[in-house]
Amino acid sequence: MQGDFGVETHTSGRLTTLTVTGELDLVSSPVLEREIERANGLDTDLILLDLRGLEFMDSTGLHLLVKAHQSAEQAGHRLALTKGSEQVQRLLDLTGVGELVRIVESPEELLDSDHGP
Amino acid sequence: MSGEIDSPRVRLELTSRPEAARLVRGMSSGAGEALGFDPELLSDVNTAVSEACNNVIQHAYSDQPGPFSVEFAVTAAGLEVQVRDYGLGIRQAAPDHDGLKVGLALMSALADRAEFIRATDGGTEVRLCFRAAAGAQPAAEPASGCASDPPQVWQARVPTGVSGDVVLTVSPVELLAPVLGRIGRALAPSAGFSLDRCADVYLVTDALGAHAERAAESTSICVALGAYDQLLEFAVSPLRAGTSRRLDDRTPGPGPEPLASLTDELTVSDVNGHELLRVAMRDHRRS
Repeated sequence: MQGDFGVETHTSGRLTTLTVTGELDLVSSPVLEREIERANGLDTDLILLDLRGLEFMDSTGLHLLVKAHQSAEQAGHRLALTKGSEQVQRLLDLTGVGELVRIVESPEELLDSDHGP
Repeated sequence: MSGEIDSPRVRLELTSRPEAARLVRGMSSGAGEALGFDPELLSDVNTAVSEACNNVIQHAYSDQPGPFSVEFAVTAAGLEVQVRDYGLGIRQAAPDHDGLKVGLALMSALADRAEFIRATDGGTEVRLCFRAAAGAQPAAEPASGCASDPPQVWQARVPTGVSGDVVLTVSPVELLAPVLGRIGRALAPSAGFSLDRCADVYLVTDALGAHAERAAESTSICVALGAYDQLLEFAVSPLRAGTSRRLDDRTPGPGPEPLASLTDELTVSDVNGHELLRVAMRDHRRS
């Protein structure tokens, strides 16, 4: 049972975006984990987890984000997140994970800063 | 019914399968919204309660899923949540598990008080108290929810004839529609329902809630839910004798669509002098 959970992967140039929607929890975390592993195998510089459509995340999801950060570094990629719901952001702030991973407001902000001076 | 109290209470008995935390969040969200909780508080409650449920699902039972219950009680002192299992006990199960540590830390950070109690008859009881919920619902009872004393025991007895993987008890009955709707919607994917049919679940739970408000035998009501292959079942009890037979009428009227038209099966049986209403809905679009 995945419920309303969804993840879509899109690659454009050197950026691979995983758009995550619904609830990231015990049930759905394995699905996202597989997609992140797949993205790590791509010829890409930057992996963006777009969490703007993520309504809820528990510690299972949090653990997965930390693991994704570590595995991206090992694969020679950079990982970034876009902000999720207030619940998601509160969880990231409370646990300090928000300081570990780069968080942007939107994919455009990430692309702008990447092409900046 | 003896043991009933005026302050709102909601109890869910279920099995520690991975999807159980979603059902509990459905209960929490439905009750919290109906009782007017602040959205930020409700978000914290959902997060903390999910962690308590995750601990049960992952650690309480070693070989196979086991029973657990979650109870919400709102009093003048706040919201108290109890999550109770009958398994190994948290610390014996996985004392060094990282996820367990993070979950316990989150519960402690989000709740005003978090207690982890090793029950004398086995298993673990987690008590989470949220004082900010106080005042969301006036309570006639003395404050017990966030007091240091053990909470008042609610005699949430499941009526004869009501059984299932998921059993919901609410008091007052007015809480049934919002809480059952969210739980039913969270359970529908387990039955393989299409998105369209998932949306129909709210129509059925609203109709069941409205009927329960008219026909409940007391101030509390119990519903057992079952999810099978393209089938969702609800069994509602105790209802006053003679109140549910007319629900079988499919004649459209000026009001909401009749319950019999929304569901595929509707049966009423007499159990110990009260009525037990069973309805089933299928997803024909997938067959």
